[in-house]
Amino acid sequence: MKIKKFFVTLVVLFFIIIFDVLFSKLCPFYLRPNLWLVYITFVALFLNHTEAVIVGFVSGLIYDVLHLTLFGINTFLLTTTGYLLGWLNKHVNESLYKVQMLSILLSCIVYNTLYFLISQLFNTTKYNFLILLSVFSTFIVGFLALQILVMLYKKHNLI
Amino acid sequence: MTIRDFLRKNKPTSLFIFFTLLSIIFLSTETITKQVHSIRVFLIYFFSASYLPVYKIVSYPFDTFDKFVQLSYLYEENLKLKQLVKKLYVDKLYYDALIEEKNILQTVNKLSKKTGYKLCPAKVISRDYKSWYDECVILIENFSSVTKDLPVVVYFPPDKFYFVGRIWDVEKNVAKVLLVSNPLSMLPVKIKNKPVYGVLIGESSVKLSMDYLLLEDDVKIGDIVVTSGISNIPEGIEIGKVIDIDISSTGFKKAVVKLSYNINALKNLIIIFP
Repeated sequence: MKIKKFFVTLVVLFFIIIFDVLFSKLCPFYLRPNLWLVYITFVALFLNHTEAVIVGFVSGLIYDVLHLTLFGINTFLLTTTGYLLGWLNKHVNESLYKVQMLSILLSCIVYNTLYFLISQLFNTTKYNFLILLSVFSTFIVGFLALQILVMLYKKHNLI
Repeated sequence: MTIRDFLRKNKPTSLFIFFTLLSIIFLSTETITKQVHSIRVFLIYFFSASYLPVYKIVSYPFDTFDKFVQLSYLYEENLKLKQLVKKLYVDKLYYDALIEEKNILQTVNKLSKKTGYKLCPAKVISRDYKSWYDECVILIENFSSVTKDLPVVVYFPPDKFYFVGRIWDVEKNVAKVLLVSNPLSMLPVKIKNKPVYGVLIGESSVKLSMDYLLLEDDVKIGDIVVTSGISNIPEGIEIGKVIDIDISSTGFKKAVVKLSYNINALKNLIIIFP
């Protein structure tokens, strides 16, 4: 089962890379949905706390490698987001759409707040408030992506 | 409680602390050292297997669309470049012509000092196909002192001059040259290094006839025909070679002379002021 989960995770990461590239071509940076954040939210809600931290770290690392950002910033942000959202695991009813939507919104808020704080600490990166617009696209696309992820994991009896 | 027990019980927190420390190391070394770049390059290489093909596939339609949009700009740029190329081509031709003119002038000046004659360069600008072997039109640089009947020669480096004809008519800086092959051109000539004189008459071809040679004159095939020095034409300018000897109807010897130069390829000529 663990091996199956590992391969499904790899496939999901691969598709997230593809869609990330696609969205980076289609949308400007302030309208680009953050699919990594959606996946971390999914893992935090439906899998477990530890996996949310690990997936957060791996996703952040991939994001940092593929995007020309300050190396390590997204690793830190997504790991922290994964850890904080992980506390919701088994404390909320994840099958409710309201919970799912609120979780995505919460992850966006946590991510952007941390990003803002980090940008105040490091002079090399500046927080662009336009990026707040991406919360809407992440919320809409993320909710749909979350349903697909739930279906995929349920189909393979992983949740 | 030992550290191991704490780590087991608080696995997410432990992992979080570990990963956060790792992230902070990445963040701090990004600004301090370049070693983290090598890690990044390694990871990029690791992910490139999935990232690059996807990037290429996704980029292709966008790139194609961009190229399509840029077509109009390319067309305008192409037009501008074409105009620029045309202008440059004209400039190059003009530059080449100037260089050639300069070289000719230098050569003529050198020859002028060497021969002791005043020389003037001229360029053939027109030759009518109906009178190809009869006349040609030349453009003269210094036309103020050019008059009728001045000899026109062609120069072949290093020191060969061949007689081409005489100035027939002058109008401003353009002159008409009566070629030596014109039937109207009757030029007193002689055989080189021999006291044999005659008249060279053109036949509208590369072959001319040297008439009025006395029967006892020593003329042989291969003899070189040069200008005689009679009239205003300097002596000894080569014209052609004797290729045949005959007796004319008038009772004189007649030699067939072939021009020593290619009269079809006249381009740069020199006018001699005796």
